[in-house]
Amino acid sequence: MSYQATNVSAYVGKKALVKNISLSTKPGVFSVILGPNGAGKSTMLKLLAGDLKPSSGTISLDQKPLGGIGYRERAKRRAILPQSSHVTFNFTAYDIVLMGRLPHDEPPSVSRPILKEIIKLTRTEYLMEQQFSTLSGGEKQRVQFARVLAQIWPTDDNRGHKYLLLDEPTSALDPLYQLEILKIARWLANEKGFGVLAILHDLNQAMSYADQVYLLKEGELNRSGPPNDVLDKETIRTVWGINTEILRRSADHSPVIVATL
Amino acid sequence: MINENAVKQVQFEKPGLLMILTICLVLTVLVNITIGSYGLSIGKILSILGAQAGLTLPWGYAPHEEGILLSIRMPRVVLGIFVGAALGISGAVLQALFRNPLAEPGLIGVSGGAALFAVAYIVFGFGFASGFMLPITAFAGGVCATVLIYLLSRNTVGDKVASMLLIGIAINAISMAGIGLFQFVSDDTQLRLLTFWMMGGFGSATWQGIMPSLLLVVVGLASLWRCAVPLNAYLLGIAEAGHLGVDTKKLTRIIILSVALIVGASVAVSGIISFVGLIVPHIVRQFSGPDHRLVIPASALLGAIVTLVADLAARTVVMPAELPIGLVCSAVGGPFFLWLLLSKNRGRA
Repeated sequence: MSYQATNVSAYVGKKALVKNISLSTKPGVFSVILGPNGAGKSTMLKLLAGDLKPSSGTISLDQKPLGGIGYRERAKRRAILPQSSHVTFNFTAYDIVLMGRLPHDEPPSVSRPILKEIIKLTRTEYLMEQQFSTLSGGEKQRVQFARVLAQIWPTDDNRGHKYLLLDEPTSALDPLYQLEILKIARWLANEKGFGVLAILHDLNQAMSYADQVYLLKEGELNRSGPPNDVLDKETIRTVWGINTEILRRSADHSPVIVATL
Repeated sequence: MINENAVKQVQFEKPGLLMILTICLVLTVLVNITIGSYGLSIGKILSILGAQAGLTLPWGYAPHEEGILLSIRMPRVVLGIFVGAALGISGAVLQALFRNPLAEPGLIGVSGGAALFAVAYIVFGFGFASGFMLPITAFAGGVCATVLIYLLSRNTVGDKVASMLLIGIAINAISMAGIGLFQFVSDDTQLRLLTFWMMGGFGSATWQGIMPSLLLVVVGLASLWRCAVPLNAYLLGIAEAGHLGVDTKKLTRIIILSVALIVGASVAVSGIISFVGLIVPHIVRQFSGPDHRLVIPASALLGAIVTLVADLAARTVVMPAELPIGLVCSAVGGPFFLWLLLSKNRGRA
């Protein structure tokens, strides 16, 4: 069981956005895509989401080709957190979260307790009555996160594996909520068995939270594996062109990556 | 994709709005059937309608008054309601689909195409004797133009919905050129007829003439009504709506074809009535908020009200002559829209 891209390439004209990449996210695993700007990270996410058709290769959801799964069925099994959102109309934050239940075709009495649980988990209670368009970028991101959780939340009627794709989930957040969203994602993988795949830029966050990292460079998969193995000084220099030093925390000897001048 | 239960489970937070609009519509209908070159009192109207249902009411009326009400005023009002509702709903769903507040039914080519075919029919003069041929030709033109735009946009790269807007502009320009050409070669009688047709009006409404259009409008409205919930997801973004399980291609197809159907059917019997489809959803959203489960029915009601008021003005301002309703709508709608835009911006600053 996995959400899998197998040997996918995507071309626009003759330019390759991604070349022959295979990666996957499995239930209970938190995977992270890392790479410099223009490495093809967002393209990979669009391919997985089904927004972009691969020029070659296949995308499959639990061993079935994505194209063979109906839109509603896909929506119940995987959700995608967009990088930014442009909602100009006056919906309340609660309305936005409620839209996550759209694929489930259920009365509000069924949605309400699910939403309550998610709003508590994401600590967004105080935002719910406010107009979405008046929220700050970070608050919008947290409300959208609650919406995508609502979309695939496991219930008696909706069992089976769930996958969560996060496109730079921390980009608009302050340090506290960056950690918060990563902790929730980690918890969802551990406790709820979600397969989580996130694009991140912070190498230390990947080091602390990910089970598996995929390093993309110029549209190709450079390396993949557990972050401890993959994120060494040489690889970081090759992929990002920066010199780093890897320190150890005194408490648990876990690695911390620091750029050197 | 289209989620019937979600539409049924609607919990209107503002049921008052629909109630008020319904009351306004009933009042507008009453005013419209009472006032005219020949005044009918409310009592007479009640008696005539009562007699139809087998009741005898105390207010007396003359046979010709029954004729005026049942054969002239009533079909005209009913047509106004359906055309107005069709234009209002079309504007509301197209603005959501294109994520563009300036979208209106004319953009998908239906008015231009209908006008081109109608003008061609008038100029080639296949005989004015058959009253049915002109609306059928116009309807065919409207639907053809929209289908053409839809098919062309499927062959473009990138954002298909945005391409559709641009292709619509091109097809409209071509239609206008064709209309201009026909106007140039037409004689005086034809020119006068096509000018009046293009400015729109309900003057020739008879039960027989409007029935096919009413049926088409009902079919189209029923399918658009069910698009409310997926259209709410569209407000998050097209990709996001797709991720939420909305089949965006299918939704686009349903909306475009339904709008072509109802606006084509409307234009066929009443000519081109501009601005109603553009303005009505804007006014509705000021009161209803963005939820399409409320915006769609409210736009239908307000569209009907606005159209009836415009028709009332069209046939009373220069009584006993009549102004074309399209002219009234543009003359009042343009300045009103400007005011709406400017007062909104002032509020924001």
